[in-house]
Amino acid sequence: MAVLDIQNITHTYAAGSPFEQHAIRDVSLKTVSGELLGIIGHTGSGKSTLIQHLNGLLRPTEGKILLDGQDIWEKPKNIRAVRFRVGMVFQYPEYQLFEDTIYKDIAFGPRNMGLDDAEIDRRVRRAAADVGLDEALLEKSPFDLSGGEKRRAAIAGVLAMEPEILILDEPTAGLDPRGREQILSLIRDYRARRGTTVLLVSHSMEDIARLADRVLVMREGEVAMLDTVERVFARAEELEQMGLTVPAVTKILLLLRQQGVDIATDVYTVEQAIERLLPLLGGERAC
Amino acid sequence: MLSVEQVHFHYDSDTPQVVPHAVLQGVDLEVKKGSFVALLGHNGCGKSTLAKHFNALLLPSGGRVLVDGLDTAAAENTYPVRRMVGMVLQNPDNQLVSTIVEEDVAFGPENLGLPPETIRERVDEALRAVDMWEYRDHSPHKLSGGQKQRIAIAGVLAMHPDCIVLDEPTAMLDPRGRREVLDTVCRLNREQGMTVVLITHYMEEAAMADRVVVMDEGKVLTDGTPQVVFANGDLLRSVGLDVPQPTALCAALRARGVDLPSDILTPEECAAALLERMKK
Repeated sequence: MAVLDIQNITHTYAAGSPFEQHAIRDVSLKTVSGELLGIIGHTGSGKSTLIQHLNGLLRPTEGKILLDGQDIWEKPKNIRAVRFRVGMVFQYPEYQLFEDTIYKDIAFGPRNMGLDDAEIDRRVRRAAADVGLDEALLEKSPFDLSGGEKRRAAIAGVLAMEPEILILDEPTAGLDPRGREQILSLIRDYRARRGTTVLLVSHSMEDIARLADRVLVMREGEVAMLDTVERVFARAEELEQMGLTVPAVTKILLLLRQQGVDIATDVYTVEQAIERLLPLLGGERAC
Repeated sequence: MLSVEQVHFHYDSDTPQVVPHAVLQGVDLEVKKGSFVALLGHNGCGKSTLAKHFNALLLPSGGRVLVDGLDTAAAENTYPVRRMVGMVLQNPDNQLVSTIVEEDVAFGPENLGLPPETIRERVDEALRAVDMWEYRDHSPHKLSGGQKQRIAIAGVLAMHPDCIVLDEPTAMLDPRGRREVLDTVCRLNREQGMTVVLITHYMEEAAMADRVVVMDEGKVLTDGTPQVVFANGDLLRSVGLDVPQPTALCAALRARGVDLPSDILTPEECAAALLERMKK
């Protein structure tokens, strides 16, 4: 699988003008093949600016982005090929559905790749299955679908290009708990099946905690932390100072530790918290 | 304040052969003045449709809605009802109309035909109430999501409503923006006695209300204090909802034989209860 190697990129908006602003500064990051990397940060921390560099929507002011060792901007004319390999699902992607049927909408990407009709058809059906959309929905208009279905259809449009690296910007925003669960499990299953490297931007620490292998924390345009989920959440106090919230169970254990209870706080799911708490509470041991 | 009596609602169908889908199927709900009610339910359960009945954006197909005793279905009540019940929606960008913050907040009172001095007073008061007065001459599109949403709330407050209905006001915000908006809403309720109806998908937001109403399939499924409603995790999960993590943790520990109260909602309460238990 492809590897993205981001080397010291800086992006300056309106360079040379009085409005000059460094949106991101000296960011380096190398993806591990097949990993799920969570990206978190306060609004304005540079998350969106960063991910827009990864498939060439923005060009860094300084630094390089290598895709499998090749500088993506070496031949600017070839940047389109990079966009097929690094798929991007934007926030509220359902707003971008534009065709009169779901089938045509999902087929838009593969068609632009110049694939033949048989291959396009195979990809559309496979992507629809990947996101759990019923075949019967393919001939419907996007207007006839529920919000959650539209979101999944929009994600299918990106999956149909079979990207080697998949970037999702807050894919669960605005969904109810069941809708969130559906999207998260489809991402998890898709990744397990295809081994695709996934970059997931989210405000939800709970989601990141459950899915990610590593977490990148952005602060004021710079990398504040880049480490395993366990190690990042163990620094919960720093995260809170950055205006990020830690999962509620992590917060509970932090409060206990502040009260002098000897307990490790690198915990972020209810199940893990139970394991930590039971010995201290003298309840039954978990079986 | 708000009284919903056996309300049914269906959207009119364009084609006669299609039976219109009933969105609300007999909702009864009474919201008292000064209360803070959270409305929960999965997508499509009818909560936004119900909210639109509170200020006569939609009228019931059956049953009736009374706002402070006024029937929303009577045409002469439409404006008084809309003045009493203000609405804040999910996307702040869809509800800001002006290029300057204070002009945006003044939009409502101007439409009421109030004298300029009164408008000025109301705008200042509303912006102070949401803690955005310093930003009065800024441009709304350059503010953060949480700030924009607070401006939208100020625009509603400047109308001097008795009740404010917020339909997923934090869905598009980051954690800090969410906290800003929620703190503002809680303050309006506690300090000014504003009646608040908050529609949300976040269980921990619902836990801040005095009362939680859960909707499913166009009906009220359960209704009570957050402590009572969230104690029934299985029922909530059966309709695609969840309980706040601290509540879930306590329930799981209780299931393993640890004696803990069942009305825990926040991390602080949970930590305190656990400490108490550890001391025993």
